[in-house]
Amino acid sequence: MIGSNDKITRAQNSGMIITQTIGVGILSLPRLLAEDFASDGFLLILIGGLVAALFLTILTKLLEKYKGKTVDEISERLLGKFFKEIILIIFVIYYVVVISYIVRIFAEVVKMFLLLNTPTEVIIMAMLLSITYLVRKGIECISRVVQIVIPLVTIPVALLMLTILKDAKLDNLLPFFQIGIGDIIKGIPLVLFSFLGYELIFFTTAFVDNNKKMLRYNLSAISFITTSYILVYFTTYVQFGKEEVKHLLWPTLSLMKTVDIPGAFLENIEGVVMGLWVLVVFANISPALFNGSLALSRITRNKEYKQFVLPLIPIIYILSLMPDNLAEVYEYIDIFTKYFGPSVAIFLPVFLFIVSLFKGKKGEGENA
Amino acid sequence: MKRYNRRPWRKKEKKENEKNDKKEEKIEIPVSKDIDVNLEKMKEILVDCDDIIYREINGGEDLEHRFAIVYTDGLTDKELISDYALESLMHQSRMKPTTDNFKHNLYELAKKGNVAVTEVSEVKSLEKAIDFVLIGETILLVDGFKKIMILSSRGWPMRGLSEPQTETVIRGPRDGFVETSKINTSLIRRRIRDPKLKLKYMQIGKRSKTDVAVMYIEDIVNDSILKEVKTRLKKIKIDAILESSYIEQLIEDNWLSPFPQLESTERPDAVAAALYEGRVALVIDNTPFTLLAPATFSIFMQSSEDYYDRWPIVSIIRLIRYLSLPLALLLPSLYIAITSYHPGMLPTALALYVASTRMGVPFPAFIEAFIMELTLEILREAGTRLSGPIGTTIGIVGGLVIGQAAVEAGIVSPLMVIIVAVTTIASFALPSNSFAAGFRLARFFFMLLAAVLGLYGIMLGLVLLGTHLVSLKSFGIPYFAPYSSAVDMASDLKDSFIRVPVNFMRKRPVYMKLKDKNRMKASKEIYNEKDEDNDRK
Repeated sequence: MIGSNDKITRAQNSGMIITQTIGVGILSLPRLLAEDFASDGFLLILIGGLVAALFLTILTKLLEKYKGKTVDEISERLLGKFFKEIILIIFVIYYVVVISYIVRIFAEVVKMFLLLNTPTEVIIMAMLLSITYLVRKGIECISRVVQIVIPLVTIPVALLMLTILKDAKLDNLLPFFQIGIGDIIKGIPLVLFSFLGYELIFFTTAFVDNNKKMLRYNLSAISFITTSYILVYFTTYVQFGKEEVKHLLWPTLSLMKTVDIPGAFLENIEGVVMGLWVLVVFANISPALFNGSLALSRITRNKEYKQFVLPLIPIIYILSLMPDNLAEVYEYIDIFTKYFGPSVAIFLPVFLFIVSLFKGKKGEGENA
Repeated sequence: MKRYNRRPWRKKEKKENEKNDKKEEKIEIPVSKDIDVNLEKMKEILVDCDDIIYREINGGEDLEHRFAIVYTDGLTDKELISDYALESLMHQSRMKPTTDNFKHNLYELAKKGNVAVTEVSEVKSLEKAIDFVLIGETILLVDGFKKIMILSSRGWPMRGLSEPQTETVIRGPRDGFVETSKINTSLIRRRIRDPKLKLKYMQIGKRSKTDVAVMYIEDIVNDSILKEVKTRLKKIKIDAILESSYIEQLIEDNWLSPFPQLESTERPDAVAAALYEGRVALVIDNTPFTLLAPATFSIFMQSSEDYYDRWPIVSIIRLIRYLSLPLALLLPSLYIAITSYHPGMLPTALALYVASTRMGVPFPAFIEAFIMELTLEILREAGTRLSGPIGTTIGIVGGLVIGQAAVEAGIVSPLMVIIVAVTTIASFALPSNSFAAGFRLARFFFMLLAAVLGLYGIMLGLVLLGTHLVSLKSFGIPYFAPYSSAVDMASDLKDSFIRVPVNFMRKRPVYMKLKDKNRMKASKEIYNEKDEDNDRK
């Protein structure tokens, strides 16, 4: 076993779900929710979390059935080689596009808050090269980095939030329950996009050393995400009120600008938060890039994924620089997530699960 | 092992080494019946070795039995040999008449009846006998027998046990290892009176033939780690081992890393504690530094005194150490990043102060910081090699140059001086010097990154450094355990950046995957047993 570099634990796996899901979505989530749902956004986040948990349960059950198999191996067994290739291609495109979108938003945020005069290209390139180093080290390293990043970021940010709450205006929350059931149902897809990301376990679960009771770990990841979304939305909303949140590009970061620790050595804490957020984005992109290059290596029938990391970098680089401005980025990504995201994260697990129910016994029979 | 694949030239070496080994086996000379032949051959091999002493003696009633002893001058306890071997062979053997039977069994009789030395063994090849002579044993040749007797007589002047200079403690045992491995192993054995404490000797180094003792507690240790240590030791093909760091560098997992992957210590209590945690100790002859494998990040942040002090104090001290790590690593680069990219992060009053102190400084922040850090590294290097009065001079001159003159001359800002001082002190707050050295090296890269990309650069650097640390393994154990999978190893966090009271640390480290997982029984059982003990007394 010594020297092996392909075993992660269940907790590390669900840790990756957390960073993969939270990522950059959390920056703009309060704005999206505040526009249409005001203080009922909490309800929506909660419902969104529950729906995501449902799909995640289906996905986990499916993966538990096929221990040590990635999505392509499962689909090959269930549907044949042709489907396997298609699914792999979908995943490569999906991850490349998702990463380039995250990278672009990331670069814009860094530019706005930290490096005003540095060209976006430099920021993106520096980030992509460091991430290559991390991803080439293997899934074990990625999962360990993720596991360290989560407490390192969560604890300081939670403490900072506490300092904000001291002059919060709770009146901002009122009035409650202004939206009908119809609105909620309409709103669910919107919220659900913020919960996309768990589909990464399609690949990573294959590396988990012990896949018993995995559901418990994965569901606690989803509840962690839901809780942090609710907390962030609550603090933002309480601090700014509906009208202001609507007009902020990244309400969560603006929230950090208002932090004022009495007697602190640093005045503008958002620099520190930005620094921590860089870590989150790393923890967010690296599993995605790993999955993308793994899928690419499977398409080309190569056992090693490492040589496919670097070739993906220029593609991501060019894609991320294609939109001229941020508005365009969000426009593209809206279109993309509307069609691509759900198909990978919702339809594919459900579809495969249903097929596995029919073919399941047969498949196991072949196995034995 | 994977890392050897990266060095393709190793294969060739291996083959050559194998050839050499075979050759050596062929030349081995058997012991001849004739004592003169043997002595001649030995003298031939040991030609020009004037520290080898040959002494031929005769015994028996009419001096008809011939013996010879050979030993190395200075490595042997001469008194022991003359009093308990020579005297009895020369003197006592003359008291009895010779019989035929006596002559045939001369060797056995001498071994059993005459030589009053505690440890006796025998060899049948001259080369091996010479090996023993060079270790410090005395060999006894008997005429007419194809065997050579080895009398254990090692004894040489050595440093007395003294407190280790590098790892001093306020409370704790004061004995430290010396340069003789037998003394060192005995110091460890005194702390672990358990038959399960195993000790396996190996000889490493074709010429130096250095003794390496592999020590472990059989029913605690993780077998795969032990096996890995042994196989890596066996793979070493080198002519000489002068210090334990040779072995450290030859068996570590990643030879490119600036961070140590084996712990080295001079303290027997630290080794005993490590053995109780299921680690493997390598006691190496001729050095007071013992190696411990595997070693992780959190182990390098511990000191053996951590377990002798009260837990709240130790916990605070540990937290201070974990705070001084980022200080030693990042402070200069943060200064660069904040002054040149993000002055807005500071409160207005502080920002104005920093700007005013930097007014007359003719360099950009990066150059300023670089000059100061470099000067300090030079000072440190100059100070380490010098001792006593000269060392103090260096300190005074350096302190004056850095503290006063540079600021007064307006080359650096006073804030920079403070930062450099804090950085250096923080790096000394880390318990392990070789570990801190890795971070000292990384500090310069961080300064460069901060100069190019500001705070963003520092974060990128942290990710890279973190990736490296996390990817490191020490004998299959993740270097960043238990932090890298804290959820699964929650009980290990009790002895990490804090230390809980001893009675709460019931489990041995989980990340080591040991055979015996528990250090202590549940508290109820402990109290019950205590009562019983008291009753007996």
